[in-house]
Amino acid sequence: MTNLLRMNAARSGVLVFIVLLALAPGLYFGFEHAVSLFLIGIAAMAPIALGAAGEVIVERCGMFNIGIEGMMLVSALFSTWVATVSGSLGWAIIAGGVSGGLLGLAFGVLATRGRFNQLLLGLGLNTAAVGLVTFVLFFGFGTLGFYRIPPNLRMPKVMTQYGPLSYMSCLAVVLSVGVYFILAQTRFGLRAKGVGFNPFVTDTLGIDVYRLRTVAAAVGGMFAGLAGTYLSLDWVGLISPTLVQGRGFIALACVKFGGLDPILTLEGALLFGLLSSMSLWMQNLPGTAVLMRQGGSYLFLMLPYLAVLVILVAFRQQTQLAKGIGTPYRRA
Amino acid sequence: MVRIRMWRYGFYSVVASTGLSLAIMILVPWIFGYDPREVIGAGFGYALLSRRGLYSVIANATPLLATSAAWIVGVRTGVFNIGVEGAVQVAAIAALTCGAFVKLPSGFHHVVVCASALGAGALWMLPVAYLKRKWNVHEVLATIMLNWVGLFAVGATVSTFLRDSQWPMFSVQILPSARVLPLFGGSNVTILSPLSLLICLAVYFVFWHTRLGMHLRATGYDMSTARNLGIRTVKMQSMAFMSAGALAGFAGFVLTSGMPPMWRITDSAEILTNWGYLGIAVSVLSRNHPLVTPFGAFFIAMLLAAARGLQIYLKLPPEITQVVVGLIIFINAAPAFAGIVQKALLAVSGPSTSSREEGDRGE
Repeated sequence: MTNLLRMNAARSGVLVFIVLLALAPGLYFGFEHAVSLFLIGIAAMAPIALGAAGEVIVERCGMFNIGIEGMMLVSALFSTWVATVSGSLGWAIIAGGVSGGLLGLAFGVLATRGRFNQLLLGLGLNTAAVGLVTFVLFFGFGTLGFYRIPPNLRMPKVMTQYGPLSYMSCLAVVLSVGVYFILAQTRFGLRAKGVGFNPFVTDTLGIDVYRLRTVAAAVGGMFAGLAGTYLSLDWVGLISPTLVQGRGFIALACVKFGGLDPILTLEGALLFGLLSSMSLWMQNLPGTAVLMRQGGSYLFLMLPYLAVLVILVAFRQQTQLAKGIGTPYRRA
Repeated sequence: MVRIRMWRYGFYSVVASTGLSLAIMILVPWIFGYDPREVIGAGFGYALLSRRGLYSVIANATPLLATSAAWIVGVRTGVFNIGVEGAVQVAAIAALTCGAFVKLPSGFHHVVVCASALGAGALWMLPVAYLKRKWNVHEVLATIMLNWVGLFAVGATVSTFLRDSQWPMFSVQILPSARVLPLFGGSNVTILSPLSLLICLAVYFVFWHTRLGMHLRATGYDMSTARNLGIRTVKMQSMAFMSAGALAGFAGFVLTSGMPPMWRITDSAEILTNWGYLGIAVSVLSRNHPLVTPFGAFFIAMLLAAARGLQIYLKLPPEITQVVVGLIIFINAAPAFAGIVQKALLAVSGPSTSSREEGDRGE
């Protein structure tokens, strides 16, 4: 009960902070500008929220996947390729999700049955993904740096008077809330928590720890795949080896920030999205023009990453919700 | 049972990974329609048989030795210090600042520039150690965030006070008094290459032959037992962070003062990126043993040079190295791979040696 109260207090506190942050530009530029910035923040939130929601499931089951970054990148490439070949956006989204899911499945099988070192698996995936994308761009698309998605293959958006709103951003929110309900209200959620808390006890109850962890990794990979698809076919509109820009790692930071609570993790992702849009806003302030001419843009680019560090400290979670995250389980 | 010494175990691991990754490096271009003989000739012929390629291998291995030593120091003490990448970049900024703006006699200037790079690297790791110690912030997250900050810091400084007025994308050059000159004409091999080998030996000596090293390794092996035995584990881990930062700082010094004929960096930090991550690959390949690290570093440096050869002669993107490095990390993440190497080693050694088997301690 105390934990629940603490969690609710944390959720409310972060929400108040988000509202204040969103209102700040409004005081300076007016309401319309504030809403416009908020929409940019929502767009920046989506890939992080998707990756983080998947990672919450993975970590709840007692695994640790730092390869979200690589999964996002490979899925972005695969969805772009399917979109270009088939000309169908629907197939491209499915391909993105499925490719992420397959990578997650491979991660799950290797981490559980193979007892691979999960940190090194993730690191290897991230490194190989960058090389793979460059290589496929060169041979498949005939370009070295990046491939721009044709406008007819980009995802449609809801056009509001303050700016565009992506369907995928809404999907990210729905999926995060869905993960919360699955973990809190379903048998799978309960078993996942059990596997995370103590795989030995869960195993004695007849639950297949390996299978549950593998399924969780596949679902987590699918979420990362959707995030990659969103980045390439929706938000950025291109595929390049530097497309993800550390968003997979920021998703990991959001999971830590949220203490494995999907709602708090979503709020963390929104907070980072807003901070990113705020850094854009600050670059356009009249007082910063001189600074911008002297390379100040780099300082503003740093801000979201520094803010994540500050947030990790300010909203640190004391409760440990899944023991031994990243430790392979071996049936006795 | 046969006693397997870690360095031998690591050496065989390097040999096995080398074979596998060479196969991948030939197989991948072959899938895309390149003749394997051409790939071998252009890639490995360039890297191992041409003088320019060999110089390139040695020059590439130099920062790799330092960054892999930095990772080993962390991992042996039980911390996953991915922040070596950022520390290299910040150390390069410090080295450039001291090397370009401070006027001192040669020799003394070298020492000052090197000390500034080492100090900057160590200081860069201080917040990570503090965040972990004080607020239990996971070092993987903190270091990844700082890596991005470090990368943007390079851009910010090269666009402002380190900017070369004639070449806006480049930084100013290190003054001649602080430049480390090449050992052979037309190469970028310097005295820093043997020095980085000595650094690996020093890491080995400290970790395996001193009381401090034993405490550091005990912390990495089992933190709670080490704490119960009276070892100040938090202090040990903080010390590991700072030492790793200083070692990364040495790589930063190599990539600025010891990188003829450039002796400068760009605002996109091209010359400074990836050394931290490649250092991790070298260490993983070498089973985190400083005595095996030179073999691992030489191998990865050879891959980098081979990729350059493939780019020059076959117009292949050099990023093929990253695919291979990623796969090497994959392969080495498998306990089964370690088992295969162990079994092969047992078969080679025979049952005549002593009785204790060492595993992957501290990894």
